[in-house]
Order: sequence, then structure tokens, then C-alpha cells
Amino acid sequence: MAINRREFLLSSAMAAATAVVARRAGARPAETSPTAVTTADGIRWDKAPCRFCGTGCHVRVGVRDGRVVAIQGERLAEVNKGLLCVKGYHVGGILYGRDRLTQPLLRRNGNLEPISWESAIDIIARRIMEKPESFAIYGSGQWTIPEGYAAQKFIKGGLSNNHIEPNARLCMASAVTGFLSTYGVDEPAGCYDDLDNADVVIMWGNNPAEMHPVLFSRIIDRVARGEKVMLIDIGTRRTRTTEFCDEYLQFRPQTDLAIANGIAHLLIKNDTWDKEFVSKYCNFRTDNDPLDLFGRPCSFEEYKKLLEPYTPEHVEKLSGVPAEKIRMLADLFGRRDLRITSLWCMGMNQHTRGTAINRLVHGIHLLSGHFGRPGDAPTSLTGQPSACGTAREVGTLAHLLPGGRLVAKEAHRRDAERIWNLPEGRINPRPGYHTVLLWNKFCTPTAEGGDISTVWVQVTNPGQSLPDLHRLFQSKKGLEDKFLIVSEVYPTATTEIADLILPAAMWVEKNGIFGNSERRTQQWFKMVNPPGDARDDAWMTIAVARRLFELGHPGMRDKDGNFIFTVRDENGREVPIWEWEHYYDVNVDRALYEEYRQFSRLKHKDLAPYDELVKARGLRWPVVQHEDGTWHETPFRFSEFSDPYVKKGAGIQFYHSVTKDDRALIWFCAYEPPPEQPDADFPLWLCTGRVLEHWHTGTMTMRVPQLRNAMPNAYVEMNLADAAALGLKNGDIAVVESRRGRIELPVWLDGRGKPPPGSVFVPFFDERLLINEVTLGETCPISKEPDYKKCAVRVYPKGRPPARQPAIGDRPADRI
Amino acid sequence: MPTPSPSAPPTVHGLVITLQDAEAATEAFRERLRARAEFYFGEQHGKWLPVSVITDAPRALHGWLEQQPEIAAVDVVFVEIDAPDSTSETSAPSIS
Amino acid sequence: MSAPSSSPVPGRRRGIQAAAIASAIALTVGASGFFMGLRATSKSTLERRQAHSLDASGATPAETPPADDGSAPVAVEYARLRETPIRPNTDWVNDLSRLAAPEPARVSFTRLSEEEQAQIRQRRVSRRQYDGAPPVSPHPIDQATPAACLQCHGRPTFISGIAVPQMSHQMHANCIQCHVSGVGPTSTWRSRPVSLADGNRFTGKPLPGYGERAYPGAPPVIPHTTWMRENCMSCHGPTGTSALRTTHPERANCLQCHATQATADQRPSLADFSNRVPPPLPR
Repeated sequence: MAINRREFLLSSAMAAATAVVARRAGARPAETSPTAVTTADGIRWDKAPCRFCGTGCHVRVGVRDGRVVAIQGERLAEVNKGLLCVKGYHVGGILYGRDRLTQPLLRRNGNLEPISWESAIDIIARRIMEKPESFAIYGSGQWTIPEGYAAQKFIKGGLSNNHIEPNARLCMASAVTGFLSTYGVDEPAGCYDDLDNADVVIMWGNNPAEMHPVLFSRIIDRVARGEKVMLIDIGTRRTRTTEFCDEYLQFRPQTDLAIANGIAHLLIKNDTWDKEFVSKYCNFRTDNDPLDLFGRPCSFEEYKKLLEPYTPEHVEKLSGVPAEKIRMLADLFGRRDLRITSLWCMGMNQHTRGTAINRLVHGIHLLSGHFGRPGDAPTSLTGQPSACGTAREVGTLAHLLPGGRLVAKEAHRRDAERIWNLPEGRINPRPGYHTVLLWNKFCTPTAEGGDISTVWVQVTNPGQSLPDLHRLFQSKKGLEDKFLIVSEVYPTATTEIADLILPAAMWVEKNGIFGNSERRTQQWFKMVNPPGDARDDAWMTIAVARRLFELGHPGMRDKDGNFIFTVRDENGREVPIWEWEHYYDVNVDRALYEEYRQFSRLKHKDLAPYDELVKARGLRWPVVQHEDGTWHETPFRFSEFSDPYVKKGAGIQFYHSVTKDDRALIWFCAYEPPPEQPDADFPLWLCTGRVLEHWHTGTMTMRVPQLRNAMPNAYVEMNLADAAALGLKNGDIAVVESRRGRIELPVWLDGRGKPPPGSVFVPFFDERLLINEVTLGETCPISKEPDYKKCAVRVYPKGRPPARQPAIGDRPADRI
Repeated sequence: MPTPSPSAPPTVHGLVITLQDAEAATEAFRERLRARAEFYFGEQHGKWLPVSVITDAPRALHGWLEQQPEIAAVDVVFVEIDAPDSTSETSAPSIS
Repeated sequence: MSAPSSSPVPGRRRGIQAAAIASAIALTVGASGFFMGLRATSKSTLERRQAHSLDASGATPAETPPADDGSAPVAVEYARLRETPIRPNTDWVNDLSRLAAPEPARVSFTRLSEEEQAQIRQRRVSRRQYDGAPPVSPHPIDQATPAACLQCHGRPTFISGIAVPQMSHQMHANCIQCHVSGVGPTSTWRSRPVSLADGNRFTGKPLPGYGERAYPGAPPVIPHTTWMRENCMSCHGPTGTSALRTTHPERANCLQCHATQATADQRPSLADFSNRVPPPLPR
């Protein structure tokens, strides 16, 4: 068959043009199969999101003979386009550490002894039966969506108790309050496509080169291809990210508030703020005294007046950032021809004014109109794989119900009771304890008001990740009537003092669904069996619920007397999913997810049906069905060109606005000094964080030899001048001490990050060197998220403490 | 360089259009282009749109394209150099 | 309807040439964009750069003056770093004869012995969690910028007789996002590496073995994916990390004769397409 010459030329021309476009856009032609394939070497490859951070890369998992043997970056995934970071490439190794927990263990007389699953489930159920109101569940953004949903329904819908919290409270609670108080609804409007379109990327206390490397590569690979992108690092220490940036603005801890106000001040003074955008889409607001989530309305005139003191010179005095650099930032924001994306993560969230700084960064984007076009976005990143999907959307926090509903709001409770088919009034209207308070109550003797007696921890490691560990975790030891249950995959700092340990299945050992930082919901199937007697977390929750049902707990029945976790097969027969042998007779994930999906409409966070997720590499909500029956995701929320819920002709519509008029709020929040500052006794700032090779508390990555060798232990990073003054050299052992605790660490000078004089940095991944015994338990008054990024410490060579001894114990008053 | 006479035979060109932004390539925009010459549109990636076009006045068309408000730049990546002759109208070796 | 296959097709050939030229231009622009885009803002790096102006004349260490006048020594290329004394050294002159020795003649294409092949395979396996995993580096990584990595890994190099493999894939700007050191973060780090065999029971996908040949003498097919392994010479060239080395390095277009395999690349099978008609030319 001959091809017509003209058609041949046309297709050649198109092929050449397409090839150039693909290279420019950094895409490579997707040549892999969308479905699972078995290659000639007998390896079956199927998709799964990576187990680690909130980026939500997709991997291809290679399985042979029931074991994971290889990993590839998924080329069909829009998030990572075939690329991974070193953790992602080695994610298969986390399943095979030699010390995987494989059987339930009960502590008797101080020793852990194996027991059967049946007794373990019975023990938990009986403890709950005895005191249901003093039971709490503590999970994380590592819960899959169905697991978090099961825990949520069990405790709020079943036990009428709201003591459920995730690690997310320590991680992105301030981002949530920032979004809520600005837009009236949680989660970013933009997405990762912004990174492909931005002309300027500003990183606020953020080190994506190590923490979100795949996203960071998406930006710097553009630079490598010859595109012009300006990168600005606003930080308190030099990092790997700084090395790629055009500008590095170093500020004194806490003064990011002043910098943001300084930018707003100049936008108004220079008359470069976007009057059209603001007049159409924004209102102004400022804080009440005492601080609360929604503050009070204020006029533009008042807003302007409140900003008056933040002249570049004043901001320079507060922050240490030169006035000319504040002017440079304001000039960039004042230009409408540029697209500006702001990125942040823990630097802004783990902050005693976390809510305020989140609001202010949204505020300068709104004030300058840098919002709603691709590349113009304030975007918060998350640290856990389903922090958005499970913690925020399912609402596994003490004050939330699924789909953005509030425990305290009667209409929302009725709504949840209706979907769950529960009698009216089942859900308790009083929010539970937030994380820091919950652990404080658990570690306080019952006689002294510690009214949490049993905590069930799933998928996280509070024994290492909580701040001020002596007070908030370790003081549980010796409290006879307190009982700690931990579902885990490896022994951790948390299992160390657990009374009952349940071996859990992880990642591709079970079905799952995660939701990443850009509203993308991602599904995967079980590919290998968990080791020994390890089982799914959702199964454990359902099995305990069933035991309570058998023991006669009334909350385990719905209005019609049926078990609250009734799952039926396609013939309508109930499947006894509480029996492990039958758990995989049906797809429990699918059943739980489809039930949960009904909650997602209220706030227009419409989730795709399970079967659509199976076909996709994640879909960004709202996922809306078109007339032809196809489902379509929404990359850019609130913008007419992308979001089907925006009225035609509106341009931009904040359809869940706090003020009910489709407008977002531009906040003014004053700079305030931090609660603890370096002084004569504790003269240095301590900042904590992560490193590229390890994820969260290192329980998984420290068991992968390649990652462990790359970063074998924690360290204290110091400035050369400080080290010289203290007589410390590279590799020396130093003592890092605060009013709350002390640990010994090797010194690393001129290392991966370079803190300025007067500050030190310690990563928190190493369970042998718990820096959180030193950190501060102070929280943001609105989000209740603790500040891990700044407290006062002193550092000295081991064995040579300074002559002046501070009075330990003169800690700031507890403000919890 | 002589300007092509109106009777110059149409030739095929492969172009990469860099749009002002990713949303600029609306249907109206495409229609406007098609009204001017025979345009074929490839799959857009970000703000880059591959097209092939048949025209007898490539220079004028290129100039016109660059005037369009949606378009930031135009790159030529493929040019048909010769005029077609009678023997090449049926082309490409047969695939057995 | 078909023309004789031997007759040239002008439109087609020129079209392909044009596309090839366009691709070459695009690649050049991309590559130079990359180098122009490399930035290091570290003040100390800038200062170092000024103090140690790069040895642009291509002078060997033998021609650089001894730095015993208290001035900073002249910097050399990274590739020569191992053989260059860093500090001013009284034995400097005596070392010259040894330093000037020619590079070992390893750039030959003699077949490797079984023993050598086994050694190379062992080394390859010891640096990867599974076949296809990004290798960990056998050296500490003191520099975090890609420019530092590219000094040695941007082209095939020998350093003190040790072959340094070239990147096997297109440039990504953050090398250490995927490649970490197997011996601790930096040379100042005093850690004892954990054996890859200890503590973890993960067993990775093994090396792919040999590709099939259609008949004796036929070029073998490629038994592994070519994703992230686009540069064949990185592994199969003279400085390669694979035990399988090309016998004909002068032929540059590997994929002309050695076919990639749809299954190794997980390309869609016919079943994925059988119910679809080929899409018409977009209009």
C-alpha cells in the first residue's frame, strides 16, 4: 500500500514538530502499556504510587514469585513522567527488612510475648467496651483512604467519640487553617502543572531539592533545557536547593511574617497591586484578639494602615533581609507579565504563627493577582503520601467529619449520620483532643486529669515524631492504667513502650488509595502477601468493631441493626470481612471508598469512581462526569477555564468563600516574636528537618542498605564560626541541649546544609538520636501544629559543658 | 531572495508554535488559522503546539502567525525543500 | 501503485534530513541552555573559583609551579585530581616523572577473560538494589552541584587508570536526587557502610543475561529496557560498567542492528490495540 506523498510529508512534518515539542515540554513519548504486563523474564509489572512523600509519584512494581524484585519510574504518570528519587527507586526494599513484625505481641511483666490475633482483637475490644470515651486513635497521612475512613467511621460513627488525630496535625495543620481562612475550603487551587509554567518560583523555607526532588527537577530541568525560570530561596539556612537558586534571602527565624507584610506594604505603596482582581474577587480581614480561625472583616483603608509600619527598612531590621531584596520581591509580584508560584512545606507550617504565615502568602498572591493562571499559584506541598487524601479529605482529625464537614456543626453531623445510616444524635458534637493535647492527656496520670487511657496508633511513629518527647510520650512509662496499642511493620521508638503490638501489612501487600498534594487520588492493588501473620490496618479496625458488635456495643449497629461495616458481594450476600480468611473475598477498599465518595460532593471535592481510578495514574478532584459518560479531572480549581463548578463568565469564583460572596480573603497578620528565643543560657537557634535519603522517622528507609549507607546517622550541622568558637571539629561529638532535653551528636561542618552563625540544624530520622527530646512543644494557637523549626539550645563538646549552668526547668509556661 | 509568485506550488512545513500560555489554543484560534491555510494540529504539551501546514506563501504566513496575540513565537522544524514532480506523487516504497 | 523501492524519493529523503537537522539544532540549543543554566550561588564557591583560576591552557600538573610561595595552588581538572598533590609539597619535583607517565592503555577492545567478566558483574551487582536501580556511587559525594558530577561522568574518562562511566541517560539537573554514595555522605564522614546483604531480605531482579540471536552470527537483541539507558556506550563502551563490551565501537548507531524488545520495555501488546483502528491524521 502506497502512502500519498502529501500525507507522508504532512506526517513527517508533524512528527518532527511533535518530537521538538515533547522535548521542550520535558515529556517523553509514553511507550509503556497502561495495564499490568508480564515481561519475558517472568516479572509482572503493575502501577502503584510511591510509599513515601506527598509528591505522589507513580512507580511500576516488578513482582516475581510473590516478591517485589524491581522498581521503575512510571512513564505514564503525569506527576513524575518516569523519574523517581533515590527513595522511590529503592522503595521495594522497605518490605524486606529482617526484623519485620510478623505476629501479635502482648507485654506481660515487661516482656513482649506472642499471642493470637483472636486474643489481641478481644483485648482491644474489651478495653474499649470498658471506657469508650477515653479511647483514642492516632494515625497519619500514611493511612490509605479506606483505612482512615474505616477508623473515622468506627470512632465517630460507632463509639460517639471524637478522639482521632493524625500525624498530619504535626505536619500540615497550619496549611489547612491557611486555606480554610482564605478560601473557605481546604487544599490548593493550583497543581504541579504550575511548575511547568511559572517564570518565578519562590520557595518559602522549603528545600524541595531534598524533600520533593521530583518536583524540583521538574523546575530545574526546564532551566537545563534553556528556559528562563527565576528561583528564589527564602530560608534560614543554605541547602541543596539554594545552590540552584538565583536569589537566596536569609531571614531570622519567625520573621517570614514581616517579609510577607513587607511585600504587601510595597505593592500598595507602589500602587502595583491588582485593583481589578481584588475588587472582583477579594475581601480583607484581620485577626481578632484572642486569635481565631476566621478573624474579623476589615476595610482596605484599615488593611493599608496596618501594613504601614512594614517599610523595607523596618523589615530589614526585623528579618535581616536587605531592604533592596524586599523591593525586588515586591517588584516581581507587581509585574502582571510574570507567572509566580510559591512553594512551601514544613518551614511555614511548623511555626507558632503557622496559620498567619500561610494566610499572608496566599494574601500577597491575591493582592497582586498572581492567582488562577497556570504558573500563578500559592501551593503548599505535603510530606506524607496521603496527608491530603486521608487526613484532610477523609477528615481524620478531632474536629472533622468526612468531606470537609465539622463535628461541631449540627447539619454536618446529620448529613454524616444519614450517609452512615445511623440514628440521629449518634455523633458527638464535641471535638476531640488535638494531637499535642491528646498525648499530654495520655501521659498524665488519670487521677490528675489524664482522661485518655487507651491509644491505638496506626501507620505512624509518635515515639519519635512528637515534639518534647519526654513530656508528651515517654512519661507514659510507669502509668499502670494506660494502655498503648501499636499497629506497625517494624520495631520503633513507639513499639518500645507499647503494651500490644499488631503486625501490619504495608504498601503493595494490601489494596490502597492515596491522595497527593495536588488533589490527585491514586489507587493500587495488592501485589504480594504480607510476611507471617501481618494483616491490613483496615481489617484490624473492622475486626475490633465486629468484636464490639458481638459484645453488644450499641454503636456498632446502624439504624436497622446491621453491623456498621457491612460489605456485600455482587449477589447481595454479606461477606464476613472481619474474618481474615474472607477479607479479600470482596474488594473491601472499593466498598469503603465508594461509601466515602458520597461525602465528597458537599465541598465540590468530587472523587472519581473506584473503577476510573483503576484505569488512571491518579485523577485530580473535582472529577466530573460529562454528558458522554466520561470522567474529567480538574487541574486548576476556581478558574473558569478548568473548573466546571465556576459560573460561566465569572473568570474566577471562590465558591466556598468564608464571606459567602465568592470572594477570597486577604489577611493582615502582625509579626510577633517567637515564644522561645536564644538567650545567654541557650544562645543558638535549633532547626530540625529531613534529608533526601530518609523519610519521616526513618523506620522504613533506615532498613534499606543503599539508603542507610548514604546517610547512616543523624548529625548536628553548624556554622564554621560557631564550631571554631566552641572548639568543635568535623566528626567531634557535641551535646545539643535545650530546656527540655539533651542528646549527643556528631558534628558536620560545611555539610549538606550551611546554617548561618547562631544556628544549628539536626535531622529527625534517626531513632537512636531523638532530637525531638530537645524540641519545643509550643503550637500555633489556631492550627495546634507544633513548631519544630525553632527553639533555643546550647551546644558544647561532649564532656566539656560551659561553666555557666542554666536553671533547667524554667521552661515557658504550657499554653496547651 | 525572490518572493514566491502567486502560482508557486504549495509546500509542507512543520512548525512549533509557542503560545502565550497553555490555554491560548482555543477552537476559535484554530479556526482562524485554518481560515488562512491548510493547518493540521498535533498534541499540545504545555504551551507548545506542533502543527503542520500546507501553504504557497510560507513567509507571509510565518509573519502573520507571529502577529497573532495568542502566539509568542514560531519555530520552523521541517521544510519541504523541492517542488513535487510527477514521479513522486505516489511515493514511499511498498511494504511487503 | 507502488514505485520501485530502489528509486529515491526526494520529498521523503529531504524531509527526513530536515527533521534530523532540526533535531540536532534542538539538542544543541537544549545542551547549551543547560550549561548556561548551571548556576552556583554559593559565595565560597565563587571565591574559590576566583582564587584558583581554572587551568584553561590544558597544562599538566607538571608545568604548574610549586606553590611554596604561600600562594594558592593552581586548580587542575577534576579528572586529574587524584594524581595531583593538593598541598604545597617539597617532593613535588620528584613526583613529576611518575605523574607524567602516560595513562594505562586500557582503551583496547580485547575480550575480557571469564574472571574479569565475573569481577565486573560482581561489582555491578554490588552497587544496585536490582537490575535497573540507579547505582550507588563507590566514592563519597562531596559536591552537590551537577557541574561537579559532570566533570567526570559527562564523558567517558579514565582517572588514575580507573574507568569512570558516562551517564547512561539524558541529563537531569539534580544528579544526587537518584544517585547517592554507598560509603557515607562525604569524605569527612566516618561511617562503616552496612553490607547490602545484611539487614534486608530484598532480592533484586538479576542481570538480564544475554540477548537472543536469531541465528549464529546475527546481532543479539537487547534483553533489558532502554528506559534511562539510552546511551549504550555508557555500559557497553570501553569505560563501561557491563561485562559485555562492544567489539565494534566505531559503529555509533547501536539500535540499527540491535533491536529493543517490546516485552522488556513493557510496551503495549497487540491485545491493547486490536480493537482500535489507527487514528486518522489530526485535522
